[in-house]
Formats: sequence, structure tokens, C-alpha cells
Amino acid sequence: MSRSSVIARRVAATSVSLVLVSGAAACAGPKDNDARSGGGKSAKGGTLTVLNRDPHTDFDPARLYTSGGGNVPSLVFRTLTTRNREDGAKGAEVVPDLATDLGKPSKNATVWTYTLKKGLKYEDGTPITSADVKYGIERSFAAELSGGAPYLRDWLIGGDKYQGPYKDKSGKGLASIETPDERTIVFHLNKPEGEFPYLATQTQFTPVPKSKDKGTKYEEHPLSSGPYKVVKNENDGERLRLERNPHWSAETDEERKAYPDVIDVRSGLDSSVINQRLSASQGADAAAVTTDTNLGPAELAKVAGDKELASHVGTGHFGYTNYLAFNPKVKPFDDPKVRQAISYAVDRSSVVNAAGGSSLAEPATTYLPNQKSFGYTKYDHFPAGPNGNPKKARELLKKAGHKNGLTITLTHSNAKDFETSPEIATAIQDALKKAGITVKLQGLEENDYNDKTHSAKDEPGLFLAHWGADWPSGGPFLAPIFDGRQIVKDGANFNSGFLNDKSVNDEIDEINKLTDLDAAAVRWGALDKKIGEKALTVPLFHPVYKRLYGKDVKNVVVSDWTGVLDVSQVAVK
Amino acid sequence: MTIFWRRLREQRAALVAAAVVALLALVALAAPLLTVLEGQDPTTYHPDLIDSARGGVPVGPFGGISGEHWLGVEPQTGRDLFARLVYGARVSLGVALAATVVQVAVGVAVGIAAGFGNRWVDQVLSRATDVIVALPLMVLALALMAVVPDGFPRPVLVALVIGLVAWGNMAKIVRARTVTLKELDHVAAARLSGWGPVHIARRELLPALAAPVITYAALLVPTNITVEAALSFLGVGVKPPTPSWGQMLTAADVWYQAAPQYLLLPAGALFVTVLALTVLGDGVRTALDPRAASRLRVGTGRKREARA
Repeated sequence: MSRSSVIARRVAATSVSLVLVSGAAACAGPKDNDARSGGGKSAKGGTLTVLNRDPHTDFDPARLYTSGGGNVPSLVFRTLTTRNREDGAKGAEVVPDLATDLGKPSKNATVWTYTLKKGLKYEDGTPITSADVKYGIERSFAAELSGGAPYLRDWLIGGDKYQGPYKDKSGKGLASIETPDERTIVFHLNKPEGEFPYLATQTQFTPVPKSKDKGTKYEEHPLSSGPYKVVKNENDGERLRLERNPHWSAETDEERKAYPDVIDVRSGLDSSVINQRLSASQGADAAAVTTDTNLGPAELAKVAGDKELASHVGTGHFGYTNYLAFNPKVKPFDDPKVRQAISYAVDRSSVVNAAGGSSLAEPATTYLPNQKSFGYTKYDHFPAGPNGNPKKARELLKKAGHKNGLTITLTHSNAKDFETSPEIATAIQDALKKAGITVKLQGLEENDYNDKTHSAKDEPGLFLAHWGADWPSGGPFLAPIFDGRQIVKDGANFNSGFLNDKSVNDEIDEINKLTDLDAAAVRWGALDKKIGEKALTVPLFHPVYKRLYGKDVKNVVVSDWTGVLDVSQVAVK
Repeated sequence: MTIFWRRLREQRAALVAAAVVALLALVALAAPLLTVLEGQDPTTYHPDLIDSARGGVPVGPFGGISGEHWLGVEPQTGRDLFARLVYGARVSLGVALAATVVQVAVGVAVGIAAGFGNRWVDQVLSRATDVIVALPLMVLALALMAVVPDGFPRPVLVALVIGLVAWGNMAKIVRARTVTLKELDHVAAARLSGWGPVHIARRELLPALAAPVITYAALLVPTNITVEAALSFLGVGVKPPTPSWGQMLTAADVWYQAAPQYLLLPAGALFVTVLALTVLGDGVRTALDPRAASRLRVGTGRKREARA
């Protein structure tokens, strides 16, 4: 009954398939201000309990794969930039954290310069320097500290060859990161990347002093730069106890509120147990939240019938799209008319219902999520209406030479995730039947499904797919799926439609040069609309996340960046 | 045979169970007819009958029970529950019966061959039976389901897999019985007069084996229904949108609080079926056991045996 956001990314030639469950899953946040106040002003003190499914394994800034710095990780690790800790769309903005601003780009956005704030300290009172940020990034290149996103390797000059500080005999580190003085750090990129400030939110940009580095053992006690330090870490992140870092100062940190004295993170719980405990709100659970578990349809039905419980439900959005993907190499999907006919035939209402109903999913006609930061531009090239347009679909099939209908196979996974699961597949099967298309279902075990759908060789003709971005922008949403140069022949391929269109590739390059993120968003939106005409995907729905929190929890903030209740803002007193 | 029927009829519980089983079989066979009568089918979605904003819970009391939808509708899809339940009976009962036939055929063949064959045949077959008995049924079934190509019709496959995985106990019972029979005079006489083993098996052994085999088979059917349910529950049984009780249970397990009837209906159907078949199986066993009456009534003060 739970939903975790799978942030999948193309991986460099090393071909390690990187389909990650990120900590930045889903959601919460109240719609009204009553819930936000929770009946009283926020005050310092108390213990906040976090009840989660997935443990924070390898709690090392080099190894964490996060969006915007993550939730629990961002309590301990500060980064050059971070996400804006505000409700809704404002929360999808990137803001400075350790740095004084979002970075000064060179004219073509290939050189980025950051200056650290004054008075920054670690938990032991020693000052944070730009050399530590550089060293933290270099560590993430070490093979033994793998786990992070591949961008640094792809973007930094020499990043593809650098092996990390442990194998580096020169002792100079990566030449493309310069630290002219203690507060300045300069990045030299191999191509224009206007979205570098978004990347600088990831935990790889956390300062790590070289003298404190213990390699793979560092995760047992990483040096805190944030408001909390790790006091206890049991069973590789299954239980984390965080207490105040006395050397953190709110004066240098505008984003984290840090109300509770102690944060107790307990993981490895079943999602139904988490929701049951939060709804009961007994003992310590009254001051509890979750950062990775949503309400499922059945749980929502129960909660919605209880006024008191319903007031402890937050609603969040996270840039995410569930869609049907075509492989145009497989007949009959090589014919655009067939792909269009299927686009017309889908019944988005029954798909939304299968995904958990209108409170848990919004119908999608665009590939980009329906948020401004992604550059959302409304379009509906093949209007199916709420219930599908089987008549129009039949006409197109006739034109395509399939007068007597068509039999196709739809591949889905057997995971119980309400995303690529059998429920969604049968809803589509039922809708396509009305258009004279007989759909055979092929359900695959989850790992098998992930392997097949991401293999250029074995990719099925039609399958249920989903995509979430590493940060709220059109770039990481469109480029991996539609950039022809990112087709991976052997390894994890995400360009499921094998689109290799020069005009699309060129536009992606052009937008990457823009450092004005708003201007870039508009162009991503326009590009999405243009790609949509090719009918390589049928967007189905964007998930909405509903999350319960304990009855004593106050100051609930849910940004559109993560869709998750922000633990750095929560108060329990 | 008439004695058997008379003895069976004397047990009221078995009679009721037989009636229930007959009714279930009738419902399963007449599923298309019943759904036409209701005016529904098991796969059509009814989005207007569910509350989308509340997670897709059926609109109306008791899961949306109405004149059109006799048992209400399924959450999230609005598919008719009555239609899915009666069509599900076809899969559940059909698969279970077919699997039992396979188990009886394999079990009897292996059992007789082991009990009646020479030492070598006995050794090989008995060890093979031990292996089959020892292997965890579900694991083996899951593995078999995974390697069979997709095109193969699922209900047949499920029946075959259950049948071919769980014949071990039947073979053991038949072998033990055969070994005892072999020593009896009429079998020994047949052997001495030069009959071939197949002939002896058919004329002398099979009739004597009927009682234990029929008894055990009756008890296998309910077990097989639960195995089918378990396989469908794990997502490797029959494929959607074909309904089966096991599959309905899987989908319903999270809805026990918000839409209880969704879980209770398939669970209740499974319960009634298994109970009826178990009671009937027990009745058959008692009726086939020549000493059952005397054994059961010793010291109870009832004297019905005297009348017979």
C-alpha cells in the first residue's frame, strides 16, 4: 500500500543499473492553516519520532542518493545549496545553504563559483572550509563509496577518469575543482549546465574534513554540519538517534528550524504498521511522522471517514509521472497511428481509480509533471476525455489497416505499488477493449520487469512505466528519456522510445546553457509539448501523496520538491 | 455399492455437505447464466459506483448492494462482485478438481508400481516419492510457474502444477496398501496362476484400493483449493482479469476496515467450500469403512447395527 518514488537515472558506462529508492519519496502537509498550527505555537524541545519503511543504509554523504539533500540526511549534512523549506510551489525553488548565493556562473555556464558563509562550524567546533567541500565531492568518486547520482562524474572536467582520493597518488585531487581560498570554491564543467545550483543540493556537496575521513567507516559517525549530530546508528541505519549539534547556529542557516531536541528514526517497519501507529497516535507515536510512507486507497477510505484523523493528513506533490511507454521497434507500435489510437482509447478515470482514486492521483496528458518549476505547459494532443474516445481510436486503427481490431501485449510488474501493477494494467485492458483492441497482459516479477524495460535489447512493445526527477526541473525529466545520445545499448537504457531527433537533442543543449531557471522552465515545457506529438508515451497520471502524522505534530511544511513532510520544520512542543 | 450409498445417507452432516457441494458445482457451471440473470459481467468497470475521492470505496451501504449488483461492487474498479464470485468459483473448483484427478492418477500409478514392482523399482519410486513429499510445495510450485512460457493457459497450468507437485502422500498410502494386499490369498493366487502384473493390478488391486483412494481424494480437493488461492494470492496463479477466489482475497486484504464485504465474500465462499468438502470427504471415508459403524457405536448404547 505504499509508494516510494523510484528515481531512476541513466548510469555511466560502468553499466551498474541504478534504480534507486530515494529517501525523497512522498509526502504530507496540510491544506489549511488549522492543521499547520496544530493548536498552539511551535516551541523548541521534545523528541520527534520518524517511522519509516526503508532504513538509511550507508549514512555517508558520499553514498546517499537524495533529491534536494534528502529529509533526515539534511538534518545532519549541509550542502552548498538546498531546497526552499516552504509549502507548495515555493518549496520547489533552490536556495543557498552553506554558500552565500546560488553560485556565480561564467558566461556560458561552464564555470561556477561559490563563496561560503562566515562562521560555519562542524559539531566539534572546527571551521568548515571550501577545501572540505572539495574533499567531500572527491570522496564520492571512490569506488568503495558508490551510491550517489552520476552527474558529477558526467559534468566535471576529468570526472570520468578520476578514481577518488584514496587512489589519487598526486594528492592534488580533482583539478576541475579549485579552492583559491578558505571560503571560495570553483567548479569547471565540461559543458554548459545552467542547473548546477540544483545539483549542489545533493549530499555529495557536504563538507568532509580530510583528517576525519575513515573511508567506508565514516558512515558510522559522519561529522555533522547541520543542526543535529548522529549519536547512535544501529544496524546500518535501521535506527538513528540524532541530538542537537551545539555548534550549529541558526544565524547561518535560514532554512532549518530544528525545533525538537532529539530525532529518533526507526526504520524497517511495514507500511501498514506505520499508518496504523500514526493513526493510533499513542505514546511517542503522537509526536511521530514518516518520510517514506503514504496512505493507500483502503487506508484513505478509512481515514476520510474519521474527522479527527483526516485533520492529521498532509497532501504533497512530487514531480512524477506514470505513463504507457511504446517501443517503436516492435510492431505494430512502429505505426504512429496505432500509438495515437491507444492514446485516444485510454480511460484515465478508471486508471486514476485503479491508482487509488482522485485523492491519490491526477490524470495526466503531459509528460512533464503539472508543476510550474518543471515548466508545465498544458497540452492534450490526443484528447481522450475523462473516459476515453474509443470511436476516434477505431477510426485511426482503420486508417492504419487494422479494420478488425488489434491484439497487443501490455507488460506490467507484479509489484503491489499501484503504479506499474496489475490493477492499472487491467484498467487499461478494459478501456482498450471498447476500441476493439484486445490486450494480453504480461505480468513480470519486479526485478525481471526492471531489467526488461530498461534493456535496449529486450524492451517490450508496450509497458507501464514511471519517472521521477532528481530535482524539480524539466532537464532531468526529459533528457534521460528523450535525448538520443543517452540511448544505452548494453546497460540501463531509459530512452524507451529510442528517440534520436537532432532538433530535440540540440534544444536540450541550448536549454542547458540557460542560467535563468525560469526561462529554462518555459523552454522545457515547450519541448515537452513538441515531443508529445510523437506519441511515444501515453501520460496516465501524476500521483498525489497523502501522509498521516501524529496528533502532536506542529508546523507541517510540504514542498513540491519532495512532496514529503519536512522534518527540519516540524515541532512537537 | 448400495451399502455405501445407504451408509452415506445415514450421515446427516455428510448429506448436507453433499448438497452444498452440489450447489457450488451448479453455481460454477451456471456462472454465465447467473450473471446474465443479474445483468452483469465480471470484467466491466463501473466508475460511477465508487467514491474516487475516498480511495475508490463503493458508494452506498454494504459495499453498494443493490438490485443490479446483488453483492455490491469491488472497490477501485466498480466491477460486480457477484459476477466475480461465481466466475471465481469456476476457477477455484475447476482447478482443484483437475489437480485432484492428476494427483490420484500419478499417486495410484506410482504407489502400485512401487508396492508391486521388484525391489529396484520400489526403491527408486519410493525415494522419488520421499523427495516430492519433502520438497516444500509452494516453493516448487512457484518455480514451476516461473519457467513455463506465457502462452500456456493459466488455469490448466495451475491445475497441472498443483497435481504434479502434491501426489506424494497419495502414492505413499497406495504403496502401503498394495504391500499388504500383495500378501493376501486372492492376489497370491492370481500371481501363481501366471497373470501379468498389469492384469493383477487392474483386477485384484484397484478394487481393493478404491476405499482409501476415494477417501483421500475427497480430502485433497479442499487442500487444492487453498493451494490455488495461495498461488493466486502470490500473484502467480490465474491472471487478471480472470477472477479467482484467491486473487480476490489478495486484492481485498487491505480493505478489511474500509470495505469488509470485499474480503468477507471470497473468504466466506472459500470457507464454506472447504468445510463442505471436508465433511463430505469424512462421510465418504466412514461409509467406505466396513468397520466404522461398529467402531463408532461401541458403548454408545445405540443398537442400529443389529437392525442391519
